[in-house]
Amino acid sequence: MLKIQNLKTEKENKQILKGLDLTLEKGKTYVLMGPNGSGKSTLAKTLSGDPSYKVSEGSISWEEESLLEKKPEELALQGIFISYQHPPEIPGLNISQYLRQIYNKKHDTNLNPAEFANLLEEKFTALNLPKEFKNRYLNEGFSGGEKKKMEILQMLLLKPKIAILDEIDSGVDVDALKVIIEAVKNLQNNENTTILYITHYPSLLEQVEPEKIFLMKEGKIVKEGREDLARQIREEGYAEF
Amino acid sequence: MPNFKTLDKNTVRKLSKRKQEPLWMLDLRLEALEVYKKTPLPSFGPSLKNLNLEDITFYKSPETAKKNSWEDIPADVKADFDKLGIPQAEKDFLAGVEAQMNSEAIYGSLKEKLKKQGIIFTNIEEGLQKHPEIFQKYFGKLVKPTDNKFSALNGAVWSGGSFLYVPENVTVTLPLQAYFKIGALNLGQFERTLIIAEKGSKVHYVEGCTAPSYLKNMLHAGVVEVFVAEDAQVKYTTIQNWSKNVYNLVTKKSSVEARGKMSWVDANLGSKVTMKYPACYLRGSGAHGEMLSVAYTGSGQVISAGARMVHEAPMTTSKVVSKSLAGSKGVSNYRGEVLVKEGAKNSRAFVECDSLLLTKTAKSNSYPKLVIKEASAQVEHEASASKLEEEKLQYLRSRGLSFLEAKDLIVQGFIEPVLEQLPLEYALEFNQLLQGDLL
Repeated sequence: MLKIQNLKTEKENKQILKGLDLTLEKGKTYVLMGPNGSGKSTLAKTLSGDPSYKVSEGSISWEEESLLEKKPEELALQGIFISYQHPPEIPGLNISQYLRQIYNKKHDTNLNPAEFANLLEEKFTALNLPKEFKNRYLNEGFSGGEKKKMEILQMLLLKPKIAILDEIDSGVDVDALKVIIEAVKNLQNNENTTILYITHYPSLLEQVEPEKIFLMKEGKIVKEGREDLARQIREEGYAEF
Repeated sequence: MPNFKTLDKNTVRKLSKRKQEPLWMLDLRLEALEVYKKTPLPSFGPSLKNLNLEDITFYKSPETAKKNSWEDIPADVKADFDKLGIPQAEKDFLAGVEAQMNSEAIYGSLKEKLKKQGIIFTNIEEGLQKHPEIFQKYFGKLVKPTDNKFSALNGAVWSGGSFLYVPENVTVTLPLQAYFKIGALNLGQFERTLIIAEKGSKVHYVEGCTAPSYLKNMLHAGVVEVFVAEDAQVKYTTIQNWSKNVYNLVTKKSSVEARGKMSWVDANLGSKVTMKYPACYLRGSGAHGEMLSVAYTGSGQVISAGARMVHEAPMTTSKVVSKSLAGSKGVSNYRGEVLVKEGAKNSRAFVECDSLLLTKTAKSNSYPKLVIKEASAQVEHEASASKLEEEKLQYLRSRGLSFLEAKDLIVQGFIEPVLEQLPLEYALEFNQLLQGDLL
């Protein structure tokens, strides 16, 4: 269980999260929505241990263990995965080499390039990515949809306990989104992963059938609910809340 | 036979006599000496004021050359040897503890194979002894004493180096590695290399090695001349890791005839000051020249590197890709020149110089020069200087990599376009050393 209590986070001395509470159960799917600037991505960045986001108050814990003060790589190795809304391009970094390195590190193993290539091919097929992709450089020259698939690919390899998917549905066409959601569901079935989608689009709700929807505004969760809340957001927008 | 410390006509005469050279070579040396004395230090580039030219031994005879003792070798050099897992025998050679490496047993068969193809690959002294007619035609025709003070110095006192001759239409399949060359000592201060690739031939020559090369005398002033005939292809790869006291001031030039291709690939670590600007004179229609370089500069180091591409004929093309990494308080400078002469119609030149600053105290500068005298020429120049970006580091760390692992991957990616041109084992070793150096 991920438990966040009274979380206050600031960036460059500006407070963005203003006492946020959130609880996510193991193996369940959630959706976080809210207007621009409400702090959704800040929450994701804070959970990833990004040092430019400073926690001034509150707590974050996973299975009773505090996650504050942990380095980004420690969080990742512990099973927390945050997908990037805008993943940076790393010129010259070969995808296969990179993916093998993060896979071996996370699972404390030592697959050689040939063994890993088999595993990778499986994931490529699942995500409907062309084979030539494995020789490209990380995110370099990728389309929006390709970047999102690359994030999901990394998630599939790392098999996290909890995945926070920040706007995984933006800049992605209908077919690609279907493939992505299918892959996330598969991972969840196999690994009992907790999933939190962060999105702008109510249409995502129908496809992922969340346990709960959270509505965020001005750095706090202001409402949570199910279909009724989804309908309300769809029909009235965020202004009412 | 003593070591020569004073540099005058007498010294040069003795040196030439000792090497049993033809008279015309002695004349070339004496001429170069005159030029050396008259030529001032370069008016551009890093400061050379700490380079004491009075205190340099200009010639060491092989049998009396004073060996370094293991105790004299700096700790960082020893550490690099260990990192690369170099056997003791090679360590001794590289550190100058032994003057020569005995590799006859291992490389004898290669020598035999080359000989059958008509390839001459030997040390430069032997080359001159046995093939004076080739030397008279080519030696000193590209790099002249008047090029700069250090090419003049080399012209006067050169000693050691390689001679490679590839006959018409012969392809050398394996890279030829000067480092393993039989019976030749390649770490000379004033080495001289002469390469001739005849029509339609193809060869890849590799000099240096990733292991640190320790010179007690702090000046390395090498000269390289490469002649690429019509339709020939030469790739000249340099991998150097000079110890941090060395002034590495080299002059490298190539001439390329019609449809020929010359490629300089240069990977540079170490040295105190490096100045090198390999040149391609594109003389025949459709000739191609390129320079791909990667350099790392750390604390107290200054590297000024670049290329000179001279388009003299129509349809000639050139490409310069310079990748420099500056860490600690290192200073990395790019100096390059593209010259398109009148008549070099429809020529194309591309220059890309990128630098990556690994620390706040590192510096990089770029001094490109483009002289275009032909309206139909296309010249592109791109330059970038970037810092190690927090966002990229954070991204890689969020996937489980440590700060250092993330940094290494970003650095590796940055130099990949050049590193992929190196023989695989060198690329791997270079990466390994770089990781060490960046720690």
